[in-house]
Amino acid sequence: MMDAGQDAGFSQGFGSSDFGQAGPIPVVRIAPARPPDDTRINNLHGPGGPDPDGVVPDGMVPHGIVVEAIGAGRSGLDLLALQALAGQMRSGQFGVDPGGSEQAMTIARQVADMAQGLAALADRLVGQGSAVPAETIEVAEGDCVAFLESQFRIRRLRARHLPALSLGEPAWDILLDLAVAQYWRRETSVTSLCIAADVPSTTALRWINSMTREGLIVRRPCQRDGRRSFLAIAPETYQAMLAMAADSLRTEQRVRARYQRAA
Amino acid sequence: MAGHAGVAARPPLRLALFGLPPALVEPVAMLAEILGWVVFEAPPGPAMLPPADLCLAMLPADAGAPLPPIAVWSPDKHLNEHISSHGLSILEQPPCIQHLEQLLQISADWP
Repeated sequence: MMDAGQDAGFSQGFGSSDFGQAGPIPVVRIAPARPPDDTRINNLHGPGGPDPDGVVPDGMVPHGIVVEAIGAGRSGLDLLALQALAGQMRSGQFGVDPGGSEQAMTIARQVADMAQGLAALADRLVGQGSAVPAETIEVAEGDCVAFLESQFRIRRLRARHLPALSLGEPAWDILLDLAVAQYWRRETSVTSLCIAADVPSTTALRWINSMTREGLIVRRPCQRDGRRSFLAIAPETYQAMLAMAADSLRTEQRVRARYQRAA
Repeated sequence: MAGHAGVAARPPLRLALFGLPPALVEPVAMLAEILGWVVFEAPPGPAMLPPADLCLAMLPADAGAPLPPIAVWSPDKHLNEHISSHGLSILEQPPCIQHLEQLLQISADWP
């Protein structure tokens, strides 16, 4: 088992420092139809520190940015069209051979990923413009308890499918991030993995180091430049995550069905 | 991880740390090890070390500065100009993990 969760020593004294501090989540504000300066950002600290002008270069969409929309309902985004585009790319239309190369599949997934991101933004815009806040939508008590019981059971499934993983939340967050990155063929840096772990960077590094030694995470050369390296989930760990997810989905369906019968 | 079959494995890159405080050595060493570096520690001042691809050492503290910055240089790979062009020859203190990762990646990129 890993020992990366022992935070008492180093991270308490050092975790409060700026080492690896992710800082506040950068926010992009998308202005209404005719913004005076629609490319200005707040709190986006790049490697060179905060940009005094806060201007995003043309065509750049920094990774990991939370998009905050202003003027909901006026974006003109066509959610259905975006979802259709994502579906078409997945199914191999637009000239992508369904049984074709890995590269074609990677491109299709990345386009679908972008479409999903835009769809999520559109959802948020619609939600902000809605008269009924999402929090007020009624959910049956049985469904809530079914969800809670499912979560409890899913935690047990983690230990069954990933016995080498201690139940520390940072490790789990790291694996979730890497599993999603694996599906979308994203390259994950140590820095972004530390942010995903949502703990002080030193603690995150300790977890990443231990998980690498355990073989849960592997170092992989950059696809564009083989001399650089990124982190990825180990193939067997990815398969275990998929098996666990499938078990979890089945468990959740069974639990929900039981509560619905009892209602 | 072992390299792919048919591809010659590169020798591990060596990072020498001169007199960094223990609180700083741990995260720097962990980050370097995750990226495949071998880390050596040495006391401050002149020291004889095995060949190193990159060195980190604390500069003498300026009056009024809470912590001295970290100087970076590359004795064997002659990367200094390359590193300086990225603004990483002197790292702020405490250092940012993103800057350190960038530094190590840049150094590993150099043929």
